[in-house]
Amino acid sequence: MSDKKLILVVDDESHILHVVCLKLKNAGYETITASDGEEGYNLAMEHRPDLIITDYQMPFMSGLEMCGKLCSDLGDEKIPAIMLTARGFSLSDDDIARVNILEVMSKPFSPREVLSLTKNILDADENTKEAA
Amino acid sequence: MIRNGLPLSNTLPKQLFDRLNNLNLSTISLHGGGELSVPNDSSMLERTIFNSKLFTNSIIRYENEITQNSSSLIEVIEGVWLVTMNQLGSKNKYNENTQDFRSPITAVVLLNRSILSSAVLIQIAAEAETGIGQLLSTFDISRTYDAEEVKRFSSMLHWIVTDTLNIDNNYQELQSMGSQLGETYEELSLLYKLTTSMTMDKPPLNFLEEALDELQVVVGVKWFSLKLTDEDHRLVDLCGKTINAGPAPLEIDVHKLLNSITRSKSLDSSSSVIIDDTSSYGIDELKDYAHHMLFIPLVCDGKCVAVLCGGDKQDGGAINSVDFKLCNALTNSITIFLENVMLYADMQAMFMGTLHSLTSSIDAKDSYTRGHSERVAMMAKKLAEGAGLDEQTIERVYISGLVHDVGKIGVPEIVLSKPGKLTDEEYEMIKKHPEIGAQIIEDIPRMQDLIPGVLCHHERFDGRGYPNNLIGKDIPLFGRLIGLADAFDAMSSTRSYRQKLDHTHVLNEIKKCAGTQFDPELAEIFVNLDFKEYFDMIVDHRDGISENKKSKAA
Repeated sequence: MSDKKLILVVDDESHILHVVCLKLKNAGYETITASDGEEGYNLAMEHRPDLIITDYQMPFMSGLEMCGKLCSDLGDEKIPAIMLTARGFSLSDDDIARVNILEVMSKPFSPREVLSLTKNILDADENTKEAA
Repeated sequence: MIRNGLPLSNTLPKQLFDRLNNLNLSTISLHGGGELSVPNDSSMLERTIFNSKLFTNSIIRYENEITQNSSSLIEVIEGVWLVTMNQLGSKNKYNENTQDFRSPITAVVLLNRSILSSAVLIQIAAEAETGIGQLLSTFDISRTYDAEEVKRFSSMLHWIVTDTLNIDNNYQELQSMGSQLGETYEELSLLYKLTTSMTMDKPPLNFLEEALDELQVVVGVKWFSLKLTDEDHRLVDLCGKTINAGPAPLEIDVHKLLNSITRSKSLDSSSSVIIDDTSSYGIDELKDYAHHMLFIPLVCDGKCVAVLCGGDKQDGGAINSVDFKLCNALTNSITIFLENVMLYADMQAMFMGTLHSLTSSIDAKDSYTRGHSERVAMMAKKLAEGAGLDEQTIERVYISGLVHDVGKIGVPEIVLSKPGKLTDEEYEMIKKHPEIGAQIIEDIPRMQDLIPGVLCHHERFDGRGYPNNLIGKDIPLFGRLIGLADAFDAMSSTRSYRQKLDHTHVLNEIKKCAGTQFDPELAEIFVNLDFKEYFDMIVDHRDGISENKKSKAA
């Protein structure tokens, strides 16, 4: 397995996938993409990424449902997630915490901020693993 | 001639190279002048051919054709075909310095089966002082083709090359569009953040500081400095201020610098300037600040109200067009914001001016009450300050104090200025003024919150006031504050019906009536206030100087 962290990016808008993946790849992360929650769920089960960045509103399965399903199917092996939502969509803190979404960002988002959040989450993850 | 020590150049996208290898085709790189690089695993037969004079001379002869077209099929020598893949197309000529092609040209070598028994091969073997048998002993005959196959291969290769080059181009384009889109997102998110925080309900300085900090992070420069001029007096508190993000040089005189720069380049003084190398400008102090710098003037109504200046990217690069676009977008927003600040100041000045005129015309109905509203407003404000209210409430108390007697418009002058005792009927008329006043301002937007001060300034703490006989803390705060200030000014000034009382007497009266007429807590605060400003005002009003005129003179 390569040292590179793998990030799954899920959004039904391809331009968002492009922008996010480009930013992450340039920073040395590996990325895989899915264009709806169902595909995202399947890819996550298959590849077990280190982080998921997902949209909220998507066809077939919403980002929240996808994260929920992953949480219940993966049990202890939780995959952290960042959610991108349209502005004004309010998600309760409970909903979010329950499915291991660590951050919610509203669109229009800053790719720079997505990257720095990603770094923070993955670095913190690394540290806890080392400590354990 | 084969060039030694040179790897097969990677002028083609890797996936194309891999495909050609998978097809078991030999690829070579042409450098110009008959020189080429070959893969390490090429056969002895091929190497001998490539090294022969016949091949070298022929390649030189065909150079024009090779460099002119992006792809061509050439029979270099009898039985040896080249399919060239010239990525630069007709732009690929010689590089003056190296005498090589600007970019090496990859070619696929196809050998015709006929070469194995041709006179040409005998000649080449002779030149290399080797036997044909030896050349062919290590050669895989399946890597030769007949004439028809060569043509078919050539077309196929042509398609593959164009397709993969297209794919590669599209991919590159997608990458570049993706990164441009990313920049746009960045810009959009910055502007969104700024416009949502662009409100008038917090100090303008905070907004500017926030905006500059955000911009510094997004653009990635070491520092930004925004210098406001004093061109427009409506920017009161902001005039001449400097707002910095990051470690900006303290002593920098942005306006002087911008002037020197625009003069030296004979530019309009309101032009933006990006400087790639500050030492090349002949302005000595410039290079002390940064190597790369940018200056953007903010212009409102033809006046330069501020200049944004920043220096050196964190990554050491030059300030590029994307950065500049972002800075421009932000300075546009800041300009709009400053314009709003000025318009707000205009509006505020007009509002207050109107109020002052209104109140002085009410006070003028009775010569004894000249300046009364101004003084009540001022003392109510002081009392509110003493009671520890917040700044915004204090301001509203002041305005409420200004308009507290507006209802007197509805009371006949003869009653207002009547010397001596009023009849019951006349007193009833006077008692109407709080309600009339409340009705007058009821319909004015943004003044509803002033109504309690107008309506309730004659209520008494013991419930014996008017119009509603409210008791204690049921009387709204504004009413209690203004009622106290109103009574104080009434006692301290001469009225048509009595002489003024002296100050100590007035204060004793207030202490005495704490709990009956006045809120005892407020009365306690009131008697301990500083009255200097009040007495100065009395003098001013006696001399006929109104607040309004005074502020205009200042």
